[in-house]
Amino acid sequence: MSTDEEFSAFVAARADHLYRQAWLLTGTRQAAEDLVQTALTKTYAAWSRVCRADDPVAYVHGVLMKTFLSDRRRRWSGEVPHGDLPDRPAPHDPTDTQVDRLALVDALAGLGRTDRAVVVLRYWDDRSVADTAQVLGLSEAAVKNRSLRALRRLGDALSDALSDVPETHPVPDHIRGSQR
Amino acid sequence: MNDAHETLVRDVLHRATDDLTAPATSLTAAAVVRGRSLRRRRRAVAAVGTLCAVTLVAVPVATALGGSNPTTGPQLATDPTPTPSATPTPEPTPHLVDNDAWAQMPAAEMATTFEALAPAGVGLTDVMLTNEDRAPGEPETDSPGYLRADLTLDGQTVGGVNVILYVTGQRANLYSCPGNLTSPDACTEITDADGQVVGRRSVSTPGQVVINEVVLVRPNGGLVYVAASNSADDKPGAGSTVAGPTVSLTLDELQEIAEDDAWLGYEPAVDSTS
Repeated sequence: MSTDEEFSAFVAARADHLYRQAWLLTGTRQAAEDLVQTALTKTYAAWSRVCRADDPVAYVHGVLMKTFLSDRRRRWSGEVPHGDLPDRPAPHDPTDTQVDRLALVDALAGLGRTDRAVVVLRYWDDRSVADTAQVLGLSEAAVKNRSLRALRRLGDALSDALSDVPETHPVPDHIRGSQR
Repeated sequence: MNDAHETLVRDVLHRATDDLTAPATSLTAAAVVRGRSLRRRRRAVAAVGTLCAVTLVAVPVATALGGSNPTTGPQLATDPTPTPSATPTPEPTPHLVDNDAWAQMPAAEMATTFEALAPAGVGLTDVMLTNEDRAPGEPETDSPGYLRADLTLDGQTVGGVNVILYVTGQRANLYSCPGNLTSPDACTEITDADGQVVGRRSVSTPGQVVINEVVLVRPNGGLVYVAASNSADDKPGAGSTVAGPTVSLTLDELQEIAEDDAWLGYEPAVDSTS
């Protein structure tokens, strides 16, 4: 199998996972595609090294996360951070998914980039505290602190947002159940 | 409450993303094209690097062999001589040169330096120890020294700090008033004995958050930026949680920290494998 064929097979197998992770980190499809594209470009350029890695999948996800976090190197002031508008729901999305997505994008936007990364790794990717700490270059205690803080803010924001949904767009039962 | 939150968050994270599908074909095609281009550039840079290394070795060898006369030996390296030009001088472009190695101080060492310079009782926690190795092809940054940490006073978290070391050749709007600041509540320029602007002190108050910032041009031409806030958020702004009404480090204290030569003394270890 040629390098390009190997790479294509790898992307076919991992693209959705990378894309979903990128969407959670960035909040829009366009930004997610840009992030995945950048990560895959770097991956292709270093493909022989990726193949030699103990865990090529983890390597590529590490490249994606690092690319995302490297954008945080900005001063506190001097720039006005402005989030992209959340994706408009696709016409064929089920209503509950639209509600989830809009509420989630809004809630995640209220977190700092590192906290968002912690949430995605811990609660979406089911990574352990130790794994998350290693990927993000944090201590395990810092990951625990950030997890608790982010979870509280995210949980509150989601509870508020989903409880405000009008009855014409009922909150799915499983979500209502988890809010009790 | 946390269990309920965790259940809710996990559920929404998965439900919101389960039906997202990546445009794998276009991503693959673009990654192959751009990846090849990136790999070519990296090889070209590596070749130039090798050439530079050969040059650095060859110059003293050539000199030792009496080859310093440019008419009798190969011209391996010469200082660029400015020549008159009708074209306007372009803005300086920040780029990493040997003289800027000081700015590559790792985050852990920056944290130690900061704590040594800060007033008694002030410390740092939750220091962001990022891996600053660039990914292949990732462009050099003009601010390689970067520290983000929570600020503590007598062991209690009272906010956050941000220190950035910039290489030489930065634009003046990074250290003049208002410069690149978008909405400062106060901004005062710092001048040297000749009246030249060499820095600024500023305060911004988005919502309840207060951010004190000092940025200084250092004698080596680089910039040292030191900021403290009453919020421990990564990028504090309106809506961020605050630990108290005021910042625990004043502008005077921040300026004193920024002025210290301890920031300028870092020398990266020589990597014999590269």
